[in-house]
Amino acid sequence: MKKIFYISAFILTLSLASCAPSEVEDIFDDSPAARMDKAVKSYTEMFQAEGGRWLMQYFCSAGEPGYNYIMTFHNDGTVDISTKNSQVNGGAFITDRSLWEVVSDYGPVLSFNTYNKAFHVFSDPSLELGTAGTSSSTYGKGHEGDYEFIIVGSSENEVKLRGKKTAITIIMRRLSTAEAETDESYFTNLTSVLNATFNNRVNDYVLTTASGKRYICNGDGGPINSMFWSFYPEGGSLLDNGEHMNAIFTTHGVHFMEPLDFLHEYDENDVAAQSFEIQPDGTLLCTEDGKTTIKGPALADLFHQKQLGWNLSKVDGEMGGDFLTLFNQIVDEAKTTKVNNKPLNYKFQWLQLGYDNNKAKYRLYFRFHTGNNYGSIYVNHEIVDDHTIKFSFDPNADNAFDTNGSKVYGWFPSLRAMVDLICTGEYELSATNMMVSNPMTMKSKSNPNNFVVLKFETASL
Amino acid sequence: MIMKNYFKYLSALALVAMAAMSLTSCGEKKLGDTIFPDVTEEIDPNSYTYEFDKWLKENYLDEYNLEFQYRLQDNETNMNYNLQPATLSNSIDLAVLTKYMWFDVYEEVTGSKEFLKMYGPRIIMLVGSPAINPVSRTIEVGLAEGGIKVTLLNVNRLGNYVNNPEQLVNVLNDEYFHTMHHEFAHILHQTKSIPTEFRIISAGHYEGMNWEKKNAQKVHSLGFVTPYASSALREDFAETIACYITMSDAEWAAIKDDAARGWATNSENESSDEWVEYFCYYYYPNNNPVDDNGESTLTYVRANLVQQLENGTYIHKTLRQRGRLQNNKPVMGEDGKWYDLDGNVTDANGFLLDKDGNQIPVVVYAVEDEDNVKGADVLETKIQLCRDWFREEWGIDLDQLRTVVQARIHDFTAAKLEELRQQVVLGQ
Repeated sequence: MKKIFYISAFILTLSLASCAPSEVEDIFDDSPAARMDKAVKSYTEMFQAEGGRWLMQYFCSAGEPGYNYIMTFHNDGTVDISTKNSQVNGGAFITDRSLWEVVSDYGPVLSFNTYNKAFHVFSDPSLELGTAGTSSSTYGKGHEGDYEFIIVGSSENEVKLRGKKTAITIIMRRLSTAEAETDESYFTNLTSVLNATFNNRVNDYVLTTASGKRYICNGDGGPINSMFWSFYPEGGSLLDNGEHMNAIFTTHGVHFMEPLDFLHEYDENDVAAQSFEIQPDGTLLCTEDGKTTIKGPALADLFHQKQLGWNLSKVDGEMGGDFLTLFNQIVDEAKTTKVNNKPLNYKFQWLQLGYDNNKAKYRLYFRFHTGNNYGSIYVNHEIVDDHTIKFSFDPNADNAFDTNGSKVYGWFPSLRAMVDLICTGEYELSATNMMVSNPMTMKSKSNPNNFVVLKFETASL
Repeated sequence: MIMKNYFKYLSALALVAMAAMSLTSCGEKKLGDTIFPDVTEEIDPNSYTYEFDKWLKENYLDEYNLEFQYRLQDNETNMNYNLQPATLSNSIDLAVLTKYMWFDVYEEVTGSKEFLKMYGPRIIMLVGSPAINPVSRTIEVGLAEGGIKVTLLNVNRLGNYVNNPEQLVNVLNDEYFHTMHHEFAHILHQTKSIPTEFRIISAGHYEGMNWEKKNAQKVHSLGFVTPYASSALREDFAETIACYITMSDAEWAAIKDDAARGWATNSENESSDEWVEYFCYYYYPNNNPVDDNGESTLTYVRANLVQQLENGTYIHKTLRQRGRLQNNKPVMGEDGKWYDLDGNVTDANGFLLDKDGNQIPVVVYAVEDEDNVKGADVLETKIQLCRDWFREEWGIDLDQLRTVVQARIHDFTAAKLEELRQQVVLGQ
């Protein structure tokens, strides 16, 4: 009897347990395959929506900068892909149409599964970028870039992808007509924004973290706008403390291929920044913490950099007070001053402040057309603080002039007065774009009416 | 006792009822027909590729139960290789060409589609680029896997030639038709094994490594149709069939001619990375085997510079025998004729003249065949074994297959390609 009771109790328990709803059923309504199917459909619709135009920030490997691609997804299964980058079509703008799909693979995968001449160069194995027969040869590999991307996350206007072979994270964001009327105009604008953000002649930029730590940033083996960056802590050296990262430049700013982990490793209060957005003053602000910045060097430091020369602009409104008065007087004196009873009839062309590598001294450099051309007056230069500089001049010092400098300094009182003006008191430097810092304004601290706009010297003035 | 029994029966009844309940209580949830989404392949009429997809369905899937994959998914490929997808236009070209030069050929020879429906691949996949081995720098242009899948690579190269009628046929033949028949031969021998006689005929001569550095003419003399055929038995078998089917009579004659000769090389290290050239003739300058110092004067000569005379001997087509000269010049005799230092009559350039005043040619000798392989015989035997295998195992006349393929190749023109393309016009 007891046996029957125990068996009955066991079967009752079993029957009740079997009626209990499955936990799995509580989480998902559909089978995994059906959910994958829905995801594929949903992502397909997302890419096509609102005109279907997206900007892909493409990285093919850690050894190359990122490349921008505009992709317009059509609902007939075609995609228009445009780019302007150094690896395709000789660097000229190119657009081509091919096919696309979201397929089920390792999760939903965005696949560009027929050849597109604007895009698939990065998966061309026959491309030999190095030297044949050496380890630099890429024959059989090419760029090793992906053309299939696992969709790992999305919001309304942004998709995060992961390259299927490279596992590199790639961002796509929806691109509106307002941002770029045509694909080609985006790339034209991109070049303009890039030039307004970085200047190849500026060697060092400064990354400052939320905790105030400063890192010197410069181009890794080339100009920084090639998007190979290197970093080292201020006071350190690239050799001892250098870090390297490739990046992509978009009209929004700079995005590094991976987070700059070393920032967090040096100070756990700092974030491993990855994306920096262009600010109204041209500087870059980290989007992850809203605090880390990348800026050009302090204006006084930039002014002092030996590779740069600064023209004193004579454009209307860019020179004022005694600067303008004296400049005009030099023009007159150059014409009318007589030497050996004959008017010189010189045409005063420009004034420049900059470093003379031959003499290893700072100088006021000028040019008079007809007659003597170039001449230098060597001045001493001092950085007072990040935004303040001052000059001094001793006409009796050794090597105070070169030959032409000595002559015109003696001939033109207004030039002597100009030297006195520059070498009296302190000057404050300011700029509206703190990345390129060109142009910048040099204004007398004692008399703000005396100012002049300084611009990078160019080959033709 | 009765009471006890009654209770026993009641308990047993309850037990059965509960068991029944436990078994049926799970059946309330109604399952769908399948847990998978509907996999019926509906071709979207709004798709840009609708006409092409429809053509592929009607001509491959419906007829041969074959999926023609032109959209590359790298999980379908060897992930160790870096590959590019094919262009849509090249895919269309190759799809119609594959049918014309492979599937339609077998239909014509066998009289129905059944043979390829039964033994043909289930999947043909197109890849735009070749698969390149970065170490050996060898290029793979085709692949057959497990008897069911054929991969045709380097499809985008087709685009370089479709508008170049002069090169089109040769390129199509060498790079695609050959590949199709080569890979299908693999499919066939993966189904019915390679004949035993074929397995032993070149045993000991296969070398898996460095086949790409081998000279084609030299391997012909060893009884292989191509250097790749010398890499492994299965490649030998597939290459023999593919070459026999796709090569012209003249090309076959040239291979057999090479195969019957002996070959010598300019290099002591035949597998070196340096350029290794092979020759099947040599000659002695001045027709003297040794020079004044007793050193051999043997010099190799390219086959195309050799002319065989009616008496069976050879002469060098461009070189003429020179006398022994002083400062590279003959000497003028008192009779106004030119002489060499040995007193032989020459022309003004020092070439020896016969009694009729004609230049004496350099005599050329065939290189002795020392490889112990009668290459031409081996090739003929291999072809015969393939013929027998096709006939006995598959009921197909290999020579008839070759005749049909050759006729299609012979008649193939750019206009024919355009005609084939018309089957698929996108955007209609």
